[in-house]
Amino acid sequence: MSQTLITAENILFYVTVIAYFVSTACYFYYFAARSSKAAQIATALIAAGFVFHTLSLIVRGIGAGRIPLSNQFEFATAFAWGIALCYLLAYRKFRVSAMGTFIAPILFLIIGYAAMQSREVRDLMPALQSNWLVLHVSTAIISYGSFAVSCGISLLYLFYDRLSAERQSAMPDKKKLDQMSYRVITFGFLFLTIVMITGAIWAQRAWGHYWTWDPKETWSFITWLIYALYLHLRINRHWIGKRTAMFAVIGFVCVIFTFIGVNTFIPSIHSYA
Amino acid sequence: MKLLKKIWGVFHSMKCAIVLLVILTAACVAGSLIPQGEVASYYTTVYPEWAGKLILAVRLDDMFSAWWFIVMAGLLCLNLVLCSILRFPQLLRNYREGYTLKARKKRNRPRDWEWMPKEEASVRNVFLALHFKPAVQEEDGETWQYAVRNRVGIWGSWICHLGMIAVIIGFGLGQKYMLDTYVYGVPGQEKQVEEAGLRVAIDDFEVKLRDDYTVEQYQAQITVKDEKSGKEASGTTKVNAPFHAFGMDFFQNSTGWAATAKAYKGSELLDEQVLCQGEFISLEEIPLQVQMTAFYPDYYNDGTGPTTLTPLLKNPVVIYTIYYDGNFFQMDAIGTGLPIQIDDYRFVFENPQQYTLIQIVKDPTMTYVGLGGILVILGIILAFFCRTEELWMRENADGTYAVFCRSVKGAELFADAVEEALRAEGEITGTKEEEGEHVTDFNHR
Ligand code: HEM
Repeated sequence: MSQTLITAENILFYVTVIAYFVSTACYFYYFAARSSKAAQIATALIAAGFVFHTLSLIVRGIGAGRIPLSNQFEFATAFAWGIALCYLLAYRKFRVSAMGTFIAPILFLIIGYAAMQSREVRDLMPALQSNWLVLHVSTAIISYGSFAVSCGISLLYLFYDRLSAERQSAMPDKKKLDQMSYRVITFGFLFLTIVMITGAIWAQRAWGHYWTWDPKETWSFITWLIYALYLHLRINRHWIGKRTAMFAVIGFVCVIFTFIGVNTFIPSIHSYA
Repeated sequence: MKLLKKIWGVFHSMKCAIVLLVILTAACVAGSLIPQGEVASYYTTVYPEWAGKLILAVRLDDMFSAWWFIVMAGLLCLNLVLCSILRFPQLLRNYREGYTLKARKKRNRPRDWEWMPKEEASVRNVFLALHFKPAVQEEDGETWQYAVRNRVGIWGSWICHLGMIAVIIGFGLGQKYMLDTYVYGVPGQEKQVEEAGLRVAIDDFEVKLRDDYTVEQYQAQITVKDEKSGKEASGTTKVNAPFHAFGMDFFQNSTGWAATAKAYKGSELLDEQVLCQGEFISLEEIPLQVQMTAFYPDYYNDGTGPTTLTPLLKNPVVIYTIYYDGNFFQMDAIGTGLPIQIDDYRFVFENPQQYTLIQIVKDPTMTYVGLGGILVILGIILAFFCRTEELWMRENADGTYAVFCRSVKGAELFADAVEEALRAEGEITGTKEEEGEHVTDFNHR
């Protein structure tokens, strides 16, 4: 990768990190001081950050001569990108700034994690040279992004009762928050299913077996089971509201564990990055 | 009889499904955190003794093949089959007859809104704005409008379950009946693979390196002969691009170093064999064995242990181990081409080259698992993204309308959209909330 491109990517990436950080701060200020102006600025900052973020990914892609979705830094930055994208889409649909207060910190933490990874652009080992992998990771980004957003909405739900009546009246009621989270989860669940299927196809092409209970596979399956449970509990037990909100948060903790924990704590064929 | 009925009742219930899903989730967590497939002593030393014993007793060391894990997965599958069979007639009836104005009128539920349209076209506009086809009218003394969209969505969960059944059964049978073997060798060798009824010849093998010596691709050229039919097929297998022949896939799986080992007595050549790392050459006349233990193409040892500087054959060195009568005798490093002398016997390693390991897999159920996967995705799309939604209205004598809406997924959000459309086209003069509880239709049946 040429020096110019590296510099460009670095600048774009750090501008993004700063935008997300300031946005998080603005959301906190909005939440504490009830300044709707701060919420507007915060949302605009995420949108601006998202533009820089997209550019940084494009520059990296050009520099590396491939789609930049192949090592831990690239996964992490793309994961953050997916959260920003899903948040902006959810915001466009639901127009609830308060959820940003819970989603922006997640976004900032994930991009912070990305910033700590090695940024070196390396050529890919043969197993990673696969279009199925690209599809696998891109759907994972959308899926994980959706789960982050549903986690944020659910956290807002769990905090709801502590808010003053006046603040409550400025946002959707709890039933709607619950259903917003549910809809976002169904979107994430669809994508997670595609993630597992494309991953299985890739594994089959690369190693001859589509499913070997490797820890990373197992953890994405666990995450998938948790959300399948969530969907059934809603119907069968009428678990709606607080308990499903907690489930959504637990589901996202599993997502994070699948993404970071498995690589860190458990040896796996997925740990090459 | 009663007991049987009860057991039956439990088996096809969703409650049972939830319990099974919880157990399977917990089992997967255990199976991922506890290292799998280690020797028994590993578990009793790494974990406290009681925990180690427990792990071994309930087979947490081989979780995903443990009998109870398989039984749980089987029960889930049975549960799914029963629930799918039992739900089918009801779903079909619902699909055919459930989404009509008649069915909705029967339910006789309170209206959601009382609404005064702006003008005559407003009613139609509301339906159109919400992406409903213009409503069907019914007039038997009263004027009703009814529309439903995405009726097909009610099949979503059923199709998804069908897909899961195919995936679980297909995966289970695949594990049992799949052929999974391998063959390895250097170019020029031909080997028999008995389980597969094949002979595999390795015609060529290449490791493509980049300038920085990282591997770009492993690529083997092979010829496969079916022993039964005598037919032959040749092709290339690369990582991520297996060769397919005779219903089997041939994967370029891994590689390592091999060398030709020659054994001499005086100047007489006793034996000559290609050894891959870990293999032995043995003599017939005395119980002497020499193993090619490791190989370094560009050997370097600064005292901390042997490594290779590059993957190129610049300073090829073999680490060999000699066994006499089954006992360890000597281990050392030797350059290729140089002799290892033991009494009258001499061993030489020559012509180092990389061997390839080709994995051979035939998984007869993979197609069904794949189809199952597609059904699962399709089912999820239908269930959540073709949400069945209904809107209907009754014209009152005073020109206002009683408006009803129903969605089983995210009812509140749908109601919001309806309300917005109503406001755009008229005035809302009353809502259900004012009459008491705002009923949300969470009932998915
Ligand atoms: C891992 C296995 C399973 C998956 C992936 C799965 C998937 C789904 C999905 C996506 C839905 C739609 C959810 C919604 O409408 O909100 C659903 C609903 C449902 N599932 Fe499952 N399911 C599984 C296992 C089971 C089992 C074993 C049963 C056995 C009874 C079951 C019974 C039901 C029922 C009764 C519904 C409600 C259907 C409706 O009202 O439309 N599920 N399932």
